[in-house]
Amino acid sequence: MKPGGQRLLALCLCCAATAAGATPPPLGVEVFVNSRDPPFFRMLDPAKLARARLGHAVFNTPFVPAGTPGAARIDGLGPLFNAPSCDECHNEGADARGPRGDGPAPQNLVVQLQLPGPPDAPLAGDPRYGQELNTASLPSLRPEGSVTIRYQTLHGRYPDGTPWELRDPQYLLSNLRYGPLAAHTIIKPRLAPPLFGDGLLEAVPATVILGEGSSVTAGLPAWRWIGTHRELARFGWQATALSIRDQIGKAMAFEMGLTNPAYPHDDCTSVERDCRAAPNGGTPEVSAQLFDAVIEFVRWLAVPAAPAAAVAAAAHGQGAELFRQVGCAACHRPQLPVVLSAPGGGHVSAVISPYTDLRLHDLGPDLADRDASGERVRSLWRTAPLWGLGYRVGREQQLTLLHDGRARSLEEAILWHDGEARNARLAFENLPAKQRRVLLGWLAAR
Amino acid sequence: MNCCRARWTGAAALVVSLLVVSTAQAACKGFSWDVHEELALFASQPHVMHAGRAPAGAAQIRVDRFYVLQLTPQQRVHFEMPPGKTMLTDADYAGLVKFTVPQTGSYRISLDRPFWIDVVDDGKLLPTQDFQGQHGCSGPHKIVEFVMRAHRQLWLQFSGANASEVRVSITPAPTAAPSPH
Repeated sequence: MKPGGQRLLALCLCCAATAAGATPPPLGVEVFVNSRDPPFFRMLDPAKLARARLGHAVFNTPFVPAGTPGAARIDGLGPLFNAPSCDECHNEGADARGPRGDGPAPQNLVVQLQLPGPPDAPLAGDPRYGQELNTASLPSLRPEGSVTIRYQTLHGRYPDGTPWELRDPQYLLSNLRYGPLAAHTIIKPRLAPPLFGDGLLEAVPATVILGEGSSVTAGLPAWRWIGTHRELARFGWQATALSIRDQIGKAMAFEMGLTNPAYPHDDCTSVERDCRAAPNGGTPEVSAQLFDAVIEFVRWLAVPAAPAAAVAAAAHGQGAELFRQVGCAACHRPQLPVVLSAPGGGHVSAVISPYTDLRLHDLGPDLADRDASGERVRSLWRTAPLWGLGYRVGREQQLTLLHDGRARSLEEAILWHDGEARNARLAFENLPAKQRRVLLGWLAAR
Repeated sequence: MNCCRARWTGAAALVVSLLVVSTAQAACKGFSWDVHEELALFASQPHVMHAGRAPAGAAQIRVDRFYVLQLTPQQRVHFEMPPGKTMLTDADYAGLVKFTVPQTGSYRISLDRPFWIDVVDDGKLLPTQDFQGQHGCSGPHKIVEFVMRAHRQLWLQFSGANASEVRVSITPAPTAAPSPH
């Protein structure tokens, strides 16, 4: 369906819903008629639309090894990588499907590697393996290693006696080709997050995230040192990416082995001589035209609306009030202001409903990463946006939530909250079962 | 000395190949579905055929058989319906085959590579019911489930393939009634 047709259909559906008494979706949220052709959250001029459509095609395209005949635009994959295309992990712009149970980690659960340091320090990877454990390779090499997951089941009860169950993952890294990881290398399993609405999150003024002129005190802003100055980051599970451009550049370089205008080097270390000596697909391997097109595509992606039935079911309950009362809204902020470029020039202010403060929070030791020697490392997490949850609940046969997909439901995701979120979790646990269901139903309609 | 070195080199190569095979076999155990039928088919002797370049010349394949299909450069292929995934198709291969299923229900299409596939029924792309892929496993690598109607002329389209052949099978999903052999 052409973008104008999609927007017209979405407008008609919105009008019908409004006529029926339903609240129209917030800014940036659109009905996804065809998940393979996700809509944009605004009308784009012809030049932007063409770039965004090209970017969508590049996003879906599996890159190929350097030197593949007739494929100069899309060669340069690897030689060490995790996935050959963006879509392989961020399927149709959505989150990745996480692990369903014990066994080999799925391709879209990557293991990032980081040497310990202050939260705002530039990231340094493992001396042998770099910033990413690449679990795939071109035939001329072997992958850096393999990842297997084993879950331990945790049991507990709510104060009202209702039982709950969580699964606690253990990560086993094996077949490490270049020797062991450094003892203090932090092992960071990360599921590919959804990309929906990233362009709107990028439009939230820095002053809002910093809490200037407001009562925001929870958590920390995600400052990152870049050379001699600090910049505010906001993307990724731990807000390690400054911008959409930075996020895409890193993923291409470290997870696909593709050098690009933002990251002119891939993740081959000095120890990985065969990786460094492998043929490359040009400098950079992803041209500025294709790179910018992918950025354009991601920047304008809308947030999928929840199914109408879920929205209707949650419309008249106390879900929003419970969300605030329990304390979720302190970090999962229901509204944030944005400043958007206006089609005719200039800027326009608006409000979005992402349910995040884009700040970092300590959620306790049970969610913290471990280093290679098995020690837990204090971990700070960017508040995950909750918009688009309803779409996931309606679409996925088994949810896999949180940074490594361990939570199989919204309820499990809440029960993993601790640290700064401990009081909110306890307030949720102490709700009567019926009110817990109301809150969960409301969340499933975001 | 040369003979001993050759023996050690041969032994080392054997160990490496066994390690690769062992790793691949372990990866194929990662599917959360019951895929023993698909694994058995992919371990069997395939039928080798050319996938068609156009609907009129498309070969017919059957459920519960294993095939190696030869593909064609994508710019020379005419699809029954445009592929459902937008991609750059530089140096890509494509093709299509036709098939029917004996009973209405869920069926799995399994491939040895992560190529894009579409199933076309009566001029429409069928929605995917579910899918799984296993890193490091090629027997199969990717399985996609579709609900299909019995005795309809269906088209299986391959596109965005970065190799000129693909191994494929179509099997009923375990909850469906088995097809007659």
